[in-house]
Amino acid sequence: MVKVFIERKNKTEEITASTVMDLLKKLNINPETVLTVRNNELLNLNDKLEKKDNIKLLNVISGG
Amino acid sequence: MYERQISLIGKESQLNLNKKTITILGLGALGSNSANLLARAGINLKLIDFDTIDETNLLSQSLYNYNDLKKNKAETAFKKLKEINPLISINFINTIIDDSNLDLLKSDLVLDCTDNISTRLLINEYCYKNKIPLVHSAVIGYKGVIYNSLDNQPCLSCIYKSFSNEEKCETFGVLNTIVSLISSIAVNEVIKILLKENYEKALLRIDIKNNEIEKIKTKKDKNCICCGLGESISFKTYKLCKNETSFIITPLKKIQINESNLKNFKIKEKTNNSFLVSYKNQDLIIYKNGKIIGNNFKKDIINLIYENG
Repeated sequence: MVKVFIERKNKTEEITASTVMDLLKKLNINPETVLTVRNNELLNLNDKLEKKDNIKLLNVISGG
Repeated sequence: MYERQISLIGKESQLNLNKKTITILGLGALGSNSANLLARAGINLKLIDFDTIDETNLLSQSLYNYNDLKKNKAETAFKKLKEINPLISINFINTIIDDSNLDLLKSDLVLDCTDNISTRLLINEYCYKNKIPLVHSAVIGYKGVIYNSLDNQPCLSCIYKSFSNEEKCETFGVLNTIVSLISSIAVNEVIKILLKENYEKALLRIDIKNNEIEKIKTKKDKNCICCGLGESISFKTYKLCKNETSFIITPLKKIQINESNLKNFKIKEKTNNSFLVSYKNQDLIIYKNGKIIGNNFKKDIINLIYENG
């Protein structure tokens, strides 16, 4: 199970997912609206996830 | 004027800064705060914005006051900055940046203070192709980010993908304190880059509600549409003017549109390089090079045109 903090909901969930894309699909989150971060490193959609990963889904900030 | 800065960076670096010109794109909250700091630091400026000042801007757009309402931001900023530092060269351009005038960005560095991802990705592509350092800054609510895209750093398109559901400062709100903080750090990064000092490689993300600073390591996306091999997103869309429903779409690869692409549309007029068409009571200008100008962006229109190519 991957532990995911979803910033928009200020909530942590546990979910089984093999890649970032798989994770976002299961959470029904549009990949273009978040940055996926693991251990302070940005992940790409095809990056693999491992059990016990701690993932953060951060909102994209674009105001100016 | 620069004595107190010279005592830290040295006279040679100050002279170096005095020779540099940077473009500030967007003279809103981040742009006006950053321009103020950069002008005082002795850096020549090119200011670009199409917008005018309204009362809600006065919370965080530090160059403007009540007497400036309805005036053009770039021109007003120019006048204020000239009073602050008459020793530097400042130019202003009242325009919206699109793919027809990207050369206006030519300078020693571009500071991105725009307010939407589409424009940010457009200028990222120009800066990447022309090897112009890009410092990206953005804010919303209690949070802000800064990222330097130059040298072999992943470009902005490796990080952000084009999307339309953005949270806007107009609707979500923003604190002037985060604006001030993010502007200060962004300007500090600009100066480091201009002086060829060690600049921040990570994506800096700051949350002043919880006083948290994150340094997020970025990496190149091999499918990036700008610096990678990606072609998955075949077009870019961005606002044409203040009216949010107007758009221009530019394909990211070479395509050729002819009448056979437009069988789902009613062709009302045609010229050597474009068609005026109608679709569901909506007029669009479609250029033979694939550029589309219209109102009320709908993805199905794009698919109809490009997928019939």
